[in-house]
Amino acid sequence: MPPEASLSAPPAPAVRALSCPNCGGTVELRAAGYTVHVGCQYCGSILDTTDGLVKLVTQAHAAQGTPDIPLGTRGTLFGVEWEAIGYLRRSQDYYRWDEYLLFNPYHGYRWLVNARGGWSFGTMLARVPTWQTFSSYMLDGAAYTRFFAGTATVDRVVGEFYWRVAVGETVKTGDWVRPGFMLSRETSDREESWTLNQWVPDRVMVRAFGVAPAGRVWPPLPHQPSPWGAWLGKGALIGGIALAFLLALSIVLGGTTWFASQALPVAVDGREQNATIGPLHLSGRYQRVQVRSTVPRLENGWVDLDYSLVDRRTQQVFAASGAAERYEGTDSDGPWTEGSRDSDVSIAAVPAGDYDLVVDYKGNRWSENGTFYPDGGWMEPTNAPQIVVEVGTGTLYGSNLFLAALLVALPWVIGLVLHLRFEKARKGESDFQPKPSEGSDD
Amino acid sequence: MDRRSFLYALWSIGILGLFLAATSYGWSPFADGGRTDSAAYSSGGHGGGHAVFYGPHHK
Amino acid sequence: MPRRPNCSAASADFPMSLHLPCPNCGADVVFRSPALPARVCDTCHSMLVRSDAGLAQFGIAAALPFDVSPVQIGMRGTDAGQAFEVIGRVRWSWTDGAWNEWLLLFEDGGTAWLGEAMGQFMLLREYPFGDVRSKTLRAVANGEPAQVGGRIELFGRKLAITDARQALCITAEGELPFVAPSGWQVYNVDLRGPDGECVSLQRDGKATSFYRGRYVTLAELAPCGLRAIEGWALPDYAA
Repeated sequence: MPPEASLSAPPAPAVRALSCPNCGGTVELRAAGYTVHVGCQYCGSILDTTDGLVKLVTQAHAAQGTPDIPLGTRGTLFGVEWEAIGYLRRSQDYYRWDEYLLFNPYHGYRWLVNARGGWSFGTMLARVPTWQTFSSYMLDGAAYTRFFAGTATVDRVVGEFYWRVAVGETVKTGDWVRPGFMLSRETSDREESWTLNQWVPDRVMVRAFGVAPAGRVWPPLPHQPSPWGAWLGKGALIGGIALAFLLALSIVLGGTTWFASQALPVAVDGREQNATIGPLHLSGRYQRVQVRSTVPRLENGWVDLDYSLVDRRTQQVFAASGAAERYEGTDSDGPWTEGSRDSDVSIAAVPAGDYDLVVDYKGNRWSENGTFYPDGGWMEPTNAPQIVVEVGTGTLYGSNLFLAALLVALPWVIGLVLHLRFEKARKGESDFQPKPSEGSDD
Repeated sequence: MDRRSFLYALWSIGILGLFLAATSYGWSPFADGGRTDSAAYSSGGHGGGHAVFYGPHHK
Repeated sequence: MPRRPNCSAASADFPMSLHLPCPNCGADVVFRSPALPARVCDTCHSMLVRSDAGLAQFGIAAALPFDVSPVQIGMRGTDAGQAFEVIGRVRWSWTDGAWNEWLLLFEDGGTAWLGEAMGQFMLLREYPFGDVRSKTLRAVANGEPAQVGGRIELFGRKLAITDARQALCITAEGELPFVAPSGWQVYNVDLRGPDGECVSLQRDGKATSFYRGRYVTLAELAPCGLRAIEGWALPDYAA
């Protein structure tokens, strides 16, 4: 017969209405020819419709209520329109979930699973995953890690199904996951079937089937992808580029140029002294002034240092203070030293101009005993104690670099922490927890 | 680019900008010293500018 | 991308085609190939067999139950570059359901079966059972029951027995390679491999037929002439 005949023939009807032999309610058959058992939503009876006639299989008397997606509702998912024709409530231990059988005559069957508010779209597989290890399977080049194992029971049946579904029927189940996908295996005494379930975000389900949004699903579904995990790679790239820039800038702009130096003598009586170093010409618009004082002879003592950088024209004062201290001795562990003979201070945001650096200083000795200078300490004139003061300028602060790097890394670190928290909560639901290590006996 | 990456890039640019600004001023919150609000200190031997007024402030 | 069949061409007319009047109602019935000696008259549904002696009638085929299968007689498609047309169907049932098997006729006169169950399709071509080297399957052909879950190795692939059932022929339509009377019982064993390959054995007490093929999606066959179903848009993959 010519193919044109199919165009002129009227389309075949899609739905056939039947009467429930138990309660008389109207039962609609949407997958005639495929459907084997139908659950009447008015009385709960199971009917057989394999050969076009309706036969009562199991009698019941309880109305089954309306599922979240009423039977007959259509929705478009992944580019194909589907009709919900069956609804199951199943449970495993204390875990309960809803399953909807979706049908499109040109595409066959799919499943919609709602567990704790999270949705998945399931496709039955014609191929079989490859066993890898006792905890993983491989399908299409992707590895799936085991998550659940147990026995699932059917608690409620409404609508059409392509097998002899019955309330109370059980199957052995196993689930393996990878982010976004769950591989489920069901084994009954006769057969084994595999289904690949794809996690569907809430907003897609709301748009497709008009279900109420679920809000936050916590703990996450076994195959729910971490909202942060995928971003960490991109984030690391952005952060890495920013850090590289910071580093490059620091190399270019960093460093200190030393341009003045003076040696200041230290009085043996430890009185307060001062000296002025200048003129110091600062040419940059603004700069960091670095003052480094080195006391080469410092030993078991310290030097107090107060700096005042005075602008010759405006008399504006920039002040800082520091100290150089060094101690040494011997004890049961051997010789020790503490402190340093240098003192390095920085003065921030000094504008251009001519300056004098006024240094107020005072030498102190801590002890005369057991030192390298048994003659009275490092301040004895025979030791020629002096302070060498050097002045330099720069713009970059190492502490700024550190702070900036920390701040740049902060959002990424927060993302990492959130991702790890998510994954911990997700994995916490698994039937296969790694055993906690033994041995904390406090 | 998704929103999160965009915001992170903005944040990074902001931090870089602050870093450059601080560097151009030679400033850091961790500097040991800086401009003081105290009245001018006359360095020894260099009178110039306004002198410090020590003494009672009332008539 | 499968080659799109030429859907506007007229139905393939084979050189060996035979047009005869139905002995029951007189309507014109066509037999396209000597390999397809049986058919159901489209008008009066009597089962006809053509032989050297002429046309014989073998009872009447039962009415087809209402279904929403997307396949219909006259549908065309392509498999592995070869164009085919759907010319016949047998409907089988078993204890736990029913399924269709559609007969496909290729340009070169070859045939294949498109099994349709639970929305999934298997494309199977007959293979001489004499060439099947499997002790397990030979035992089944001799009358042993098959064990679901059992594994065999065939054609270099590891196959698992997924189904073993007693099937009952309900009815048929169009052209067929054999008479398919209602009530005909066969023992059907299905085996499946890890990549979607499948193999099927049918034993009816006298003879054993063997088929091999694979799971296909309708989209892969680039079909045209899909059955229109009220309220459903034709899919994107329909030519």
